[in-house]
Amino acid sequence: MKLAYIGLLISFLWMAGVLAGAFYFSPSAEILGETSRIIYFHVPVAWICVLAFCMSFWFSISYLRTRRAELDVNAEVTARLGLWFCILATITGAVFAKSAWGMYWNWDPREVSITVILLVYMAYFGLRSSVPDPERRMKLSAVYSIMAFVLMPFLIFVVPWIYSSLHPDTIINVQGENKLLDGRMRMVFFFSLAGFTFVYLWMYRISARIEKLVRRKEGWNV
Amino acid sequence: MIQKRKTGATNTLNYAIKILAVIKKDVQAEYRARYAVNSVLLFCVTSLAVVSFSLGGTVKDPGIQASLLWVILFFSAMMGLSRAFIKEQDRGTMNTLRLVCEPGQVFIGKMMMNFILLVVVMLIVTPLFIVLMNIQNIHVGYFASVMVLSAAGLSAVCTLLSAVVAQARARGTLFPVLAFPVLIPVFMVAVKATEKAISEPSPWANSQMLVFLGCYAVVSVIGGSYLFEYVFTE
Repeated sequence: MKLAYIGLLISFLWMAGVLAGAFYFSPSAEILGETSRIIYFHVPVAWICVLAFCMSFWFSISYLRTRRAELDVNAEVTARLGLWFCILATITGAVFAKSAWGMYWNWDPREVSITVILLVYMAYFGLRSSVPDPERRMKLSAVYSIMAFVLMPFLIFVVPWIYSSLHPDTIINVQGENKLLDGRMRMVFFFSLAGFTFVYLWMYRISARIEKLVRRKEGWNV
Repeated sequence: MIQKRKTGATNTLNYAIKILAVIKKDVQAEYRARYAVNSVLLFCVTSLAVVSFSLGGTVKDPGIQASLLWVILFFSAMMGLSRAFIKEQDRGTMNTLRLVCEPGQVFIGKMMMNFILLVVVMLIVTPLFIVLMNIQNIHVGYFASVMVLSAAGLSAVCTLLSAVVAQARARGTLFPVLAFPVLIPVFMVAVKATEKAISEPSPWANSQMLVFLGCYAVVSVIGGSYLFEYVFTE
């Protein structure tokens, strides 16, 4: 119990440090100016969205293999968090797009991909809510989650073909080297990435515990 | 050794016969009632008429023409292909199917049936579309390959999702919601490739898109038949 509080304190201080670093310590990027500071929030949030998607896939596979109800709880909880982070990534991205490109939405490849991930998450929960029988619900939602994940590489592959990009990542990452990120920016960025990942895992643990308690009350052995 | 090979061969043969039996049963049921073909075709022709009435001959841009064709085909696929398992569930014949066939046989049979249905619809709708939209320089071979490869991917994904949706409530609305995000890659590439087929003089020069559609079809058939077992068996 004490260890959990210490961990909480550390992550709180860590995120406070990230905030301070993002606004005071790191310089602004050369071309993008002050708007570039959104990288410390938008990119980690989008990363969590993808991470949650992968974790949901992994739990779904394990569920189908072992048929243990707690794995379905994990898959659902991580998908729900993923949905929230996905919405956050979409909003922060749109805010950046408005200030950098002049429009909230212009079907950039990244915007297309995040929309599809958002649609997959929403379809997943749509499916869950329309299957009344719990065991069937677990099975079918696991199948859908796996199918969506398996076909996702096609999307990642095809989108840059069809739409041209203005996303900073494609401009900054010329041949794999970050030309516009200097040392201090990179440091704050990776600190932020680690901090967000930690916060996500913490949220995931709490929500999984709550969800398991709820299901235990409903008479499930999880 | 020889004995072993022989049984392997007869097993494969039996497997194929079962698949054919599933297809035959569906074709017969379809021939007697003509439910899916009628509703899907009527829907297709109606939406085609709506599109061409509202546009007349004004749309000359091949990109827009290709998108319109695929919007019509996509929604008719959503209507027709979802029925593969919903009708079994409604008639209460799902358990019979479970008794007489293995999951893999049912999946492949149903997928082939959906594929045939989709190709029939395409065979009727695309010539009408070409005439009504006044499309002149069309590359038939490339166009047909795009249609067949996309139909393969579409029918594999739709067959799996049809089995998923058959066990849920609110199936009619749920099916397109589930299918659209998964089918987006096929949809986008099919539109682009169709545009190429009706605008460029030699589309074969760069056939990346066909390879892409083929890969999608293969992965969705493999993934679908693997996952179908979990959906189908109780």
